[in-house]
Amino acid sequence: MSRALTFRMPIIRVKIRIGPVTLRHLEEGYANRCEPWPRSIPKELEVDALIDTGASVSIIDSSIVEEMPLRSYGYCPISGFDSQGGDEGKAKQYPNYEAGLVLLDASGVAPILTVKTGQLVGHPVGNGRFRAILGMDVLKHCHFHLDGPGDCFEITATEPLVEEISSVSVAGA
Amino acid sequence: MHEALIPLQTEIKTFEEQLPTLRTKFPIGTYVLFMGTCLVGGFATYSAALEAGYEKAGSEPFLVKQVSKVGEDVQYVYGLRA
Repeated sequence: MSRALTFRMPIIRVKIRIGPVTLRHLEEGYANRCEPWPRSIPKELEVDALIDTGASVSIIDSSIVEEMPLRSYGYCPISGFDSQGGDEGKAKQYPNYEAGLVLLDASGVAPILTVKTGQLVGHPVGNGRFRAILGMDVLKHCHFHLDGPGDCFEITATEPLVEEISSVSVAGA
Repeated sequence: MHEALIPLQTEIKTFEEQLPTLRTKFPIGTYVLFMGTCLVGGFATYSAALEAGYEKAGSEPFLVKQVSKVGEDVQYVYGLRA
């Protein structure tokens, strides 16, 4: 089903989830302390995300990292026209977090693709229109068709569930 | 360095120094686990590497990083603010 572009951008609704390994260890921590999971801490958040074929990895806004107890287990060197600059064009290191993703259909209800876990980069991207960027690590599992003249786009998934997304080029991953 | 990465700076430095060797030891895409300067091992999945990290390190910092092809050490996101 085609969707209208939002301000000429392909934006879709997604759920960001605490990654399963992080979640299990957090839940075990609360259980060991005989404490319930705090109501103020969401296990998932629903946000708008920009489909960005010019991004090789996916990004979530820093505010999502702050709202959810995501943990960084690694980093991602990233270069872009704004992050190059003064330091001889060297890439900057950004933290990445274990998180899952659910891409929702045009109604914003039914999932079209569930990614159980992935390494999502946390960085300020929030701008009032979207709080996440879906890069090629996720889009590798999708068909994306942009109809510029028609001001609409279509996104479908090759399969409904992906266990993990890869940050680097690996055949089949 | 981003403040979230400060606890991992030893692991990051070690990974970057060892990346050329890691490419000969492990298939591209392998998730390697570092604690301090120690390479704990390579894993086929991200989840397996994280589970091993929790098992070995508990709440202490550990680094999980994918071994990339030469030239794919850096990702590109156009318009990302530094």
